[in-house]
Amino acid sequence: MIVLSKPSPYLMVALGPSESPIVPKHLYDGVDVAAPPGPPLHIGTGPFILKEWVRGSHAVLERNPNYWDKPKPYLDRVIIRFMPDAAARAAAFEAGDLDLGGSAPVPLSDLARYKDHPKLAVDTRSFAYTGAQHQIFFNLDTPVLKNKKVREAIAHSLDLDAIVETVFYGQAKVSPSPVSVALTPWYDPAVQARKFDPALANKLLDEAGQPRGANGMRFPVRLLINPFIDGRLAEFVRQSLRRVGIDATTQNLEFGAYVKNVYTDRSFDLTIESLTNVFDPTVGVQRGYWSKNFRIGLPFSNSANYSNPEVDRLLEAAAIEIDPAKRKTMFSQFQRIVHEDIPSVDLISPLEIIIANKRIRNYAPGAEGLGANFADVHFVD
Amino acid sequence: MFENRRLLRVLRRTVVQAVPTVLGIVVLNFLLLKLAPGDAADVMAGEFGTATEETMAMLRRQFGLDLPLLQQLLAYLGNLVQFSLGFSPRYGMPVSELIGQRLPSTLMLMGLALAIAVVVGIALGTTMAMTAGRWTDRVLSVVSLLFYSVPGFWIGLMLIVLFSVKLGWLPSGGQETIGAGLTGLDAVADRLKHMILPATSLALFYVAIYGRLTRAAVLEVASQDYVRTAAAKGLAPLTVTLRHVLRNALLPVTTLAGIHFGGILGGAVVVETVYSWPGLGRLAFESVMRRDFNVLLGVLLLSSFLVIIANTLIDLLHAWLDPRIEVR
Repeated sequence: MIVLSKPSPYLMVALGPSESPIVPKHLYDGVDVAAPPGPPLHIGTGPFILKEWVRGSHAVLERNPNYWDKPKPYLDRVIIRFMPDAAARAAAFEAGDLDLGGSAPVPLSDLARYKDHPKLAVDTRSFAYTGAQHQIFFNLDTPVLKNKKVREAIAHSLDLDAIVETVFYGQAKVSPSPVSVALTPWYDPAVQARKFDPALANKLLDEAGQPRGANGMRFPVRLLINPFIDGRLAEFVRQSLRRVGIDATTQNLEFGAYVKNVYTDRSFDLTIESLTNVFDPTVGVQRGYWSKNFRIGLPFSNSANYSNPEVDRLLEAAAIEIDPAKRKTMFSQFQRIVHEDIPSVDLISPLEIIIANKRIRNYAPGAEGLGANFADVHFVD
Repeated sequence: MFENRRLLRVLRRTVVQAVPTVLGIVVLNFLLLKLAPGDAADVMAGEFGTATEETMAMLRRQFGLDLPLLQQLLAYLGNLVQFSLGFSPRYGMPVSELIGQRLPSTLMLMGLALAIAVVVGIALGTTMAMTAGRWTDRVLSVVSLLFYSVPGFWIGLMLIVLFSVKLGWLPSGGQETIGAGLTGLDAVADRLKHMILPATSLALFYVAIYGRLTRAAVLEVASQDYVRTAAAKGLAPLTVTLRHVLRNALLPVTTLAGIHFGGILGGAVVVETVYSWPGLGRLAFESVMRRDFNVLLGVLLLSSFLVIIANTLIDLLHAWLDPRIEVR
């Protein structure tokens, strides 16, 4: 039983097994979560039992004979292999060593080869439980970016359709609002991307008092990118910015250094971030725009240092509003205000790419994608 | 008797020198790693994305990252004195266990690769030197140059494409057939089958180095007076090559192989990644990315031991190959 101090409209959705697995009370009751961790316990209620786990190599799951939902699960055994290299995964798929893979299992440039594959199928979808979203956050503490016209110009300098087609090989959707298009219940279709118009961008930058200098450049910016995103997106943005006279320099940092640079040192001007919306805007979107979540040193907080009292009010109200219709209205208002204020330029929502043996069924039955529990997975002849 | 005393002297010297060396390596590594931006809590909080300041403070307390630097170093050294490599919060297990899991497979893979490289490299180099200037030499030179310059990951992938995808002879990755439950000879054969491709991809680069090195050394030695004398005595060309030329030409090759052997525990990140091989190289690399420094320090420490041992062995080997070299 959970007793809440305030209504929590997203809680029901949060109780999916991938987000909130059931753990044994007799082992976890009274355990101090702040104490140094002991050996991990893998005791749950799912359809499979962890038999073997060789770190860095594989895990073997055996069928749980006592699973509550008989006759499931249908599989006798699931082997999860940890393969860090995308090209190696592609080869293993082709050699017939793998049956299923998610989260862009092969390089995007290889996807076309699987189109007519006799044994493998490519399945690209959005899953509402992940709410994938890539966006650019502005550091609003950078003097030149305080001017809204500059931010507007940057938004007009980016061709989102071209990003989808070139960087993501078509495996993404334009997602112009702070709430990802993958979150269909909450995304407001009235929020549309600013038109790709370099001439307008140039005009806005001139009006903002940022004329081109002798070398054709107006001002320099430091552009960072979350290393979990394909680095070619940074290259695309850099070239787009240079076309309108913004001298962007990119820096490719590995994850630890990236997080420190953006969220602790704040030594960036623009950052291409992947602030995933998860399953609900209160959980996934609020952290990036709520002024009370501007926290130095806290990863994936309000990196822009954006602050708008009305946005704060809407986010706080929506977090405890149980009427879905009212909540939707609040989030719509929120999206429109943020779109107007431009603390971020929202770009695209990458599709989930799954490669599967054509004989497998029910590997992604719901909104969780491959994160569901595999009880229904089976092979057909 | 004399040999034994000499050996003992070498071992004593090695131990005496190893202690300060290892201590220096630990302290230097520790301080260097602390210079990296971000810590384990940053990375972990970044990965789950919805952390709060409280959870981050809790993580830092758990990892001991909230202590002053000197205290962290002393705590680590204190662990070492008790023969403990510490605990990896990231993997939730002791570092020694984590390394122990990967050590055998890494040693086997790297050992096999280096053995292939030394044997094939020396054979190739000798052949090239014996046929210097002729077409065999030319062809082999081009081939070894190719091995040397083509990146390991590409060779690895191409071998997978050919032998696993097209021909279906060998597995595409991993270190065993998972869940097959093989025992005895079948298990050994299965392991070997999984090692062929990664060991070959690793070896090719070293084959090129040893081949070039052997060729140059053999050519130099072959022009020495005592080689002419040996030939003049009427010894068979093969005997001259093996006993008089090659034995003397081996010194630079063994020196270099020793250095490479010392680096064996560092693994080969690229090949391990391409072949999904759970080796120490990948463990070390992932520990850097996750700022899991206890694990990294453990790997580095073991590597430094291995370098010291390998150097001693090479010293002894040199003394055997060329008795004029005194083991100091």
